[in-house]
Amino acid sequence: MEPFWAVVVGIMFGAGIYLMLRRNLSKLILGLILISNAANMLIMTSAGLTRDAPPMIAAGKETLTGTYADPLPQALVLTAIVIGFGVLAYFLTLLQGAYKSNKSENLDRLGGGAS
Amino acid sequence: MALPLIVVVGLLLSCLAPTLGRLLGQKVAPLLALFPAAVCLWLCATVLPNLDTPLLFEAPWIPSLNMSYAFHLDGLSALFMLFISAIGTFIFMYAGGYLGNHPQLGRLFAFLLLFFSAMLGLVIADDLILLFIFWELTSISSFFLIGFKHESEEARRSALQALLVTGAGGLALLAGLILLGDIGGTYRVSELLLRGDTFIRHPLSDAALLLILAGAFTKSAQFPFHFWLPGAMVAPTPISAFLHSATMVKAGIFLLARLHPLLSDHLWWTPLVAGAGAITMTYGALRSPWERDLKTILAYATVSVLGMLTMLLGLGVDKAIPAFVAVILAHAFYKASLFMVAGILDHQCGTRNIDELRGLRSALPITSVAAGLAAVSMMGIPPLFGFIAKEKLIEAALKAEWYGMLMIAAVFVSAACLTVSAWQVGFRPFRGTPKPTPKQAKEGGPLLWAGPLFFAILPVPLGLLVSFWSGPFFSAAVGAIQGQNLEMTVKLWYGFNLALLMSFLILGAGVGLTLKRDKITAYLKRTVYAKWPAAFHGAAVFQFGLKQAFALANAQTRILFQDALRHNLTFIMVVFLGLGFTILKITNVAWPFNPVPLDNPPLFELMIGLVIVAAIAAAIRAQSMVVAAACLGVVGFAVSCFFMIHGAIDLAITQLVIETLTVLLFVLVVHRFPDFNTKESELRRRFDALLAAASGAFMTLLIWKADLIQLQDPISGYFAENSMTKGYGQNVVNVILVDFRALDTLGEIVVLLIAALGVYSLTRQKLKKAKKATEGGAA
Amino acid sequence: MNSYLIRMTVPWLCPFLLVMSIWILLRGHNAPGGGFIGGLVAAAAIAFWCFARGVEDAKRWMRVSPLHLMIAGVSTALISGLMPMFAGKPMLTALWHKVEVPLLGKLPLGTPILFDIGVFFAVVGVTTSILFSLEEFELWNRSGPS
Repeated sequence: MEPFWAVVVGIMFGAGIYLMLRRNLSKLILGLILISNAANMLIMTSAGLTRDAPPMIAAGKETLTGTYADPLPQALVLTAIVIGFGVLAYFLTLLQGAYKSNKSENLDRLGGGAS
Repeated sequence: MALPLIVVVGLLLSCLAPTLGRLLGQKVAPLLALFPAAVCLWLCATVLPNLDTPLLFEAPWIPSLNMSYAFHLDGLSALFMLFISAIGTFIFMYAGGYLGNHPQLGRLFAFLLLFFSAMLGLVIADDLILLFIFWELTSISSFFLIGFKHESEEARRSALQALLVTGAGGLALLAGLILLGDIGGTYRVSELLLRGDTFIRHPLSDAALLLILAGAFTKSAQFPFHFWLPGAMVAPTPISAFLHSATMVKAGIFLLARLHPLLSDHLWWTPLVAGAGAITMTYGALRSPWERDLKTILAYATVSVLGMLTMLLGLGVDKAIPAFVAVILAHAFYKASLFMVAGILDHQCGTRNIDELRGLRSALPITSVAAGLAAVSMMGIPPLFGFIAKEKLIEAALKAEWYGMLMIAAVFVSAACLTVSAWQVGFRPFRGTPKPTPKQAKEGGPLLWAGPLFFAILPVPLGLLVSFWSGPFFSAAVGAIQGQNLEMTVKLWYGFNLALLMSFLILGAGVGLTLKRDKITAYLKRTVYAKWPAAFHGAAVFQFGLKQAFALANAQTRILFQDALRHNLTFIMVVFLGLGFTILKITNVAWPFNPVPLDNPPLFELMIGLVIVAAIAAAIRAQSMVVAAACLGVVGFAVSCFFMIHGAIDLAITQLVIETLTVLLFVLVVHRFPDFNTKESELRRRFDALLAAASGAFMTLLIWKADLIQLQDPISGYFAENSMTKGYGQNVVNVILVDFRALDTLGEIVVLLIAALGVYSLTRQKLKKAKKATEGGAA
Repeated sequence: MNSYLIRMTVPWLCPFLLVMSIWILLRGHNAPGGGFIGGLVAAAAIAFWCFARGVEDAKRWMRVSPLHLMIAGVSTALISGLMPMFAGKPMLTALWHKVEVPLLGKLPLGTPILFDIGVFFAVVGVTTSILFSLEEFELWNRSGPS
């Protein structure tokens, strides 16, 4: 299924970048969220997908046996999700301030010198 | 144990120096001079008598990278340590006398001590990386010391120039040292030196040699990088005397000497090192005598001697190395003395122009004795130590096989010119009828004249007694440079031979040039200096290049960073895609759809994917923020399902909780943002859509390719095997997070902490400002 | 969110969520869960309280400041990482000790568990700090002369 998900992730990235390139401040945030989701999925997908086999060692066993989903990208993505949230919050705060002080949602007018 | 202790104590004292300087004022100088004095005495008492057994120290630093705190004191290190600490002692006292109660005396000593410790560390380091760190520390402390008078623009410019030149060389050196360590298989200098054969045969040895030479030549002001050294003379004279004549500029020479056993068999060694050295020596000597500023004369003379030392290392004949040791010692003493004399003249008379300084013998009797003796040593007149150095130098040049005649000629010309320089600094200001100077000249305190006098007198007993005690010392130093044990002696008198004849011929030529010096100067002014525009001077070229670099950076910033986020984003994306597609080599990606049917028709997966795509389409078309945010919520939950299906239960839960919290964030913040009513041009939309489509396609290809190729075995097998036995956890993902890769996790929670502090301080700041504004308005 | 029903449910729901979050944290080593998820669940509980009954009330209920909480969390993780250094091992090496616990039998206790607890508190602190900051700002925005 990786090719299918690769296409979906590609669409997510494309849409995210399209939104970030808009002039509107709110769309920038939407694009950012989309891209961070897409990045998480990219890490999972490019490591190879395994269905229905969580990397849990069964009780009483010493090691993982049989097929199992790669645990390393999962560990990476887990922290990435939480960090993405922190960054989003920081970003929102910044944009909120910028919006309030410029009274404009037009990103082209958010710069220091031009406004 | 003593070796790292010296460095650590020096660094600690450097931290304390500003406080001490504030508390004690001028008295801090003799107090801190006790440190180099102690090092010097320790060296003379315990190390010099036992040079056969080098002192060693080793402690692990980063064992996985083969790096250690390794120190090693052999004959070469002892030679450098000896004159660094001896000169350091007197320079510290002299700096106290020179700067008096300067408010920033403590700061000066902080940097001086930092430099002193780094320099000692450099000469005893036995690990290439450690050596490099000390090397850079000397560059940095030199930057601050040249720029000590930071109110002056010239000082700042010269400091920056010196830093950029030596810093660029430092980068090259780092690359060279890493190559060297890689080739030799170890970063330990003492072990590397035994592997000369493997080095020469390695294909990368050429690159390593060139990079190391680049580092050494910039540091030691070899032509064409020499120009920063005369510029560095804007520093207070104690600094010039210590860093830019006696010690720091010899770091490059030290490195060449240290690596001599390893590198000197390389085919390019002699042409590059001896060639650069001979050019530098001649160039410096030819420029030095005709300058009017005392310190500039000495600076060019220093450049010349540095070239001489480099040439001696490069010649590759046996006689050259003893000459190297002798010249380095003689130069360290007479040049330190002469520099301090120049400083005294500047300090007591208010000028450094030799045309204004006449007949000072009666006003500055002690200084004139010191200056005269040091100049005599510089001229190489027996029985001073300088004579021995000069004779050794001539002997080496006579033996030179590589362009032998040229070498002899270069040595002849340089030595003759340096005789004139010695006269100009050491005798000329004190002879003749007194002229009025900007300040009424009178002798300063002992803090000022003790140093020059000591180093001027030292070559006398040194020259006379050298035959009795210096054997082991010279043998150890020369042996360390040549990489073999040998026995040798140095004598004042070798009988009548060719070298002695040459020595007297040079002296004669020097006297002749001295007599004609004013005519030559006038002639040069009319011809060479008038015809050569300033652009031919290295410093001018460098400054021009620097200015152009700034202009280029400004132009780039103007074009690339317009004042709008999306322009910058567009640039980033275009560059990223351009580079990315080039590297990806799309043609190599095999068509990924393999027709193998899946056992379990992935209908559910397909549905989730389609939901994501549909939700995204809706989000892009949405006219209000609330609708778009809701669509993204759908995407988030679908992603959570994606994780769930593919065995990432932890991720699925995390994603769900984060989605919930994100909704809360939106409720809090985003609802205040306006709806989408900004209009965009059709053209812009199309262009962006194209760019976005290209990025999406790139990501898709990236995943395909990543899925198909496997550069290395995945390390997940290790986690799967050891998670239970070593980490006592059944949830492998969690064991990775808190045990195997805990350092990453630690970094990540620190990132979170920073993000939260950022939000906290931003909102707090705005609240405060707003409150102040409302209170002000109400009042 | 000014519903009476929600305001009355929250004091019952949130402590339950908190207890659950601790359970998620502790089972994390052997089953889905762990410091990140547990911390997020706890933060969500506090966020509920905050939305239902206001920031001030939520802060009073928490007793500790989110800033202190997250600094304590990171420090705990750091200390658990430094502990092996006193045992002469490189930083962040796991140290395990099997402890006899009544009722549960022999349990392996180690620095990674302490590390996970540190992660838990860091995540709770960070998330609540962000929410509180933004909520306070929002409150001011609503009341103040925008």
